[in-house]
Amino acid sequence: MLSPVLISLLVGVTPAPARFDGAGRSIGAPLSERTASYVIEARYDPAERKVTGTARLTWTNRSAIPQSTLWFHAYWNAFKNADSTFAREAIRGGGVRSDTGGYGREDWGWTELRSARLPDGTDLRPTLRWEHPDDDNAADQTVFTLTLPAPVPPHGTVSLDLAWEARAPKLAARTGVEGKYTLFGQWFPKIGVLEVPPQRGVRTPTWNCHQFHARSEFYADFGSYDVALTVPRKMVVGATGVRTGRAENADGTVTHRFHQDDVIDFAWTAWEGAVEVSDVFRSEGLPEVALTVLVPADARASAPQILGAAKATLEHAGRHWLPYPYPHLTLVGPPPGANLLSGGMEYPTFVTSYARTDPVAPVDPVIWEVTIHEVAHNWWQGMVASNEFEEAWLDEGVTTWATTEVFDALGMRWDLAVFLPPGTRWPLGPFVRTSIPEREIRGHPSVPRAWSTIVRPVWLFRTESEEGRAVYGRAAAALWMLEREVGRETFARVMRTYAERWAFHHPSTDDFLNVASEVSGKDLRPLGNALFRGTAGLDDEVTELRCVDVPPGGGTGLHDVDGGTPVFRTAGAHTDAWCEVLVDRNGDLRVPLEVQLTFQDGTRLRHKVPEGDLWARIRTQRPGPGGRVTLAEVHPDATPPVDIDPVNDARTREGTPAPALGLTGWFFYAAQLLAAAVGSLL
Amino acid sequence: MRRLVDALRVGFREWRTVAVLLWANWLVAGLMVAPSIPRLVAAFGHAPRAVGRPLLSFEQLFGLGPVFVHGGTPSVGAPLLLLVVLQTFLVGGVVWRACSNGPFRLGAFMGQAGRLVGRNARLYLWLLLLLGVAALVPVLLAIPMHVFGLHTVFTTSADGWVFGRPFTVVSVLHLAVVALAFGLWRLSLEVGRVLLFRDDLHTTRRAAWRAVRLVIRAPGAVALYTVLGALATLALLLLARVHAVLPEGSVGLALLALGMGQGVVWARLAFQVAGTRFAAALVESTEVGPPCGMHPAESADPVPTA
Repeated sequence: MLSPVLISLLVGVTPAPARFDGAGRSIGAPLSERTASYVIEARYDPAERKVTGTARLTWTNRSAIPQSTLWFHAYWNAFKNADSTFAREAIRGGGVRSDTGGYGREDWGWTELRSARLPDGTDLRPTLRWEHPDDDNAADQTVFTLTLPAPVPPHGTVSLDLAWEARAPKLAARTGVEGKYTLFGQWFPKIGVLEVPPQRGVRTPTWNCHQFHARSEFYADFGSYDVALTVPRKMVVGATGVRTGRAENADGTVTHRFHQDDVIDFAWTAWEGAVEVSDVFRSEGLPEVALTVLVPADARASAPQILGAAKATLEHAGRHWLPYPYPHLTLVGPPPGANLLSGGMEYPTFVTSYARTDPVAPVDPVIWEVTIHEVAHNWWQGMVASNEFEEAWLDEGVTTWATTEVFDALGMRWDLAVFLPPGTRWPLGPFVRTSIPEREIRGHPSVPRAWSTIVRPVWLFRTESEEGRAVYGRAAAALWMLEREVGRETFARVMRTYAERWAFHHPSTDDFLNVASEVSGKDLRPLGNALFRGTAGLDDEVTELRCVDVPPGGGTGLHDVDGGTPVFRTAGAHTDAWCEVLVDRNGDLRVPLEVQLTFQDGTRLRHKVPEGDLWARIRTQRPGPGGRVTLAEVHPDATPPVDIDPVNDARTREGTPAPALGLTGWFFYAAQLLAAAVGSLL
Repeated sequence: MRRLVDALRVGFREWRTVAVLLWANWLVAGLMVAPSIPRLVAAFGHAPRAVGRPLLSFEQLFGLGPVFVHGGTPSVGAPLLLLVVLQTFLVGGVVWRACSNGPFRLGAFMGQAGRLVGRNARLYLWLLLLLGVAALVPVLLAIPMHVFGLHTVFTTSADGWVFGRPFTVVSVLHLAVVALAFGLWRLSLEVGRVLLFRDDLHTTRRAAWRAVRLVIRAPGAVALYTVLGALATLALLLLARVHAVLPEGSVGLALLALGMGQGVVWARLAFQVAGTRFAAALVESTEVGPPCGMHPAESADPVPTA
């Protein structure tokens, strides 16, 4: 087999120097502080759905205060019973594909810490205490603490030997078992994040270790992971990092070893029947990345598309944000029945996409969009490691923005016909044929005032759908608003600087706005705070436009002439066009508003609406008929991305019957078909 | 097969009957759409940014949220109730035309419709029981299929629809069973209506039972009637597909789309008349009695007697 270096020489591509060696170990200085590192050995028994593992955790106290209590996540206890906070929230308001309400007796999962010892043998297990930092749910067992006999000194390190046993739940919330496929996310006892001033605005060292919520994702410190996974021989394994070894065992199992430095998590899949497809990403000046795709055999046709989307993202991100430093990326296209529950999830160097039995050729946006999105998460949250519990927009909103960037760069648009199943695309395709930019799909706001601010813990939104809209679409639209303020080029520099400065750290909303203000040279914090920490929306509208002909000196009627007796005067042959435009500001978001009037003679007039005014009436009088206003527009240069109704941003004096007639006609036709269909039953 | 061709010929020849049905369709559809028209005109009547944009765009259909924020969405429930009444009324006239070779007269059509409306309504209620029984067939079939891990198009998960292949040999066969079960019920209804008309029956329970027995004894007719339904669906789909690919963006094109849409609905209603004609022919060929078009009850006008 040719080495990657030789292949590069043959095809004439000069890659950038690697940041990690072929075993996932960093070359040169570590990229991160490596606050929490793990050496894990785990065995999976698919028949019992049981994981048995041991872990050596090495944790560094980054603070200046001794720490004797360590906080841990036990995420899989979210699936232990219907009393967990996760299950309660999922039943009440839904979660991220997390319906445990239909779980049967065998479907629940759990995790249990069997032992926790210091290297000298001191047993910490008796100090275990369940904590509920987010609610008063005493039944929730997704967070626990261990208390050390002696505190970890400032900037000191402690090692713990943990042993645990867990049962994988039926697939939910991107983890668990579906048939012969198991996805292991958040599967080991994981230490929380000790936030140290000035990190994310904390004033004293504070543990940030939230319970597992139905809508929440995760937050973790960087570290090195060295993991040995023992599974039955027939199972294909894909995981975070680089495979460093594979050893067959006498009992019919295989032990796979993986290693990766400078990541915040480790996830993996064990899957009987998966097809493995390998490739390499090579591009001039960017580090090489080995790619592995796991797909079900009957959806093998999806693998090239998953690879294509991953390469496109690595290329775009490497040029615009930060080169992908890791040597490997694993992409999983789940088996039939597991796509919606486990596809579309991001872990460092390991993402799940979608696999379709019959993808649309040559580019299936369903596969490409989710792959681009999840791979982009390796920057926005994987490296720029924000807190997904408390500021989810920093990963989902930024990644939605990033997905759009890649989508647009590839010239891709959405055609709803791609969602149709095979066999129906030709007959039914024309009914839903569309060409919609990703930006409109993701970021189109619909209400003039939101219920909740974008920045808030994800379990404190009013509804599940509002949380989704806020942290994905609204947040992306807010970023486009900032981009509109500073221009596309400057905003691209903002995002690159943000990535460079905050990679391998934990930024906050303020950190982002500070970078944006610094790079753009414009204080974006007021607008940014209004967008991310406010609920105001925007709907500026040209409500009226009318013109009447008047005599040049005034309207028809009695007029004083040279101060003498009033004389009657009527409109003569020469008239002025007197026009009036009414502009309403229906939303509360305060952004500068400019109105442009276009006259019949082609001239234009711009009018600034004073800040704070909720409406403006603009009157003009010019010699007609060229002086008639034919078009009035608000925001003439660029429609604000958060404007909920861009159509009412412009109004013509002449009627535009086609859209109203077209829509009415289509409504009528649809109503006729509905009536005909119901008539079939009568 | 000859019966099928004859039914189609009558269905498309009876253009006046179809026009009456289309009129009812317009009334119902118009009532559904009417509440939206003022809002659409207000929102799009002077909207240059919506001009030239396709229907499936944020400038038009997807962006309607703010337009309807204070109401004005299409109304569905009440117009559909009206449809139930209208359809129940008009089917009497349709049966008359399916049985008659004489000229179409609107007064006669309405007279037959009015004469039969009460009985047709009662017949429908009786035959709803058969609909429940017919629906049980595919449902009961789906249970063992589920046990053996075989999916129907109705039990395929959302995941399967988007990512897999919902249309397998097994699921299509199950769909055919659904179509046959529906065809059996629908043909029974049509036959019942023909019997009511031809024999001037007043006991609708008896008419329903006779219709069911007749249809069950004619499985070939059920299959042909189901084929007729499949042809109707196919024709509708093809015509609607042509309608869907029409360009958009101007008043002329909007009117063209509206006109083409009438063609689609026309075809659907013509198939409805053809279905009734098929049932009439079935009755004529299997039931003892005069051809339904020859029965005195066929005429709306009193027949002079010697």
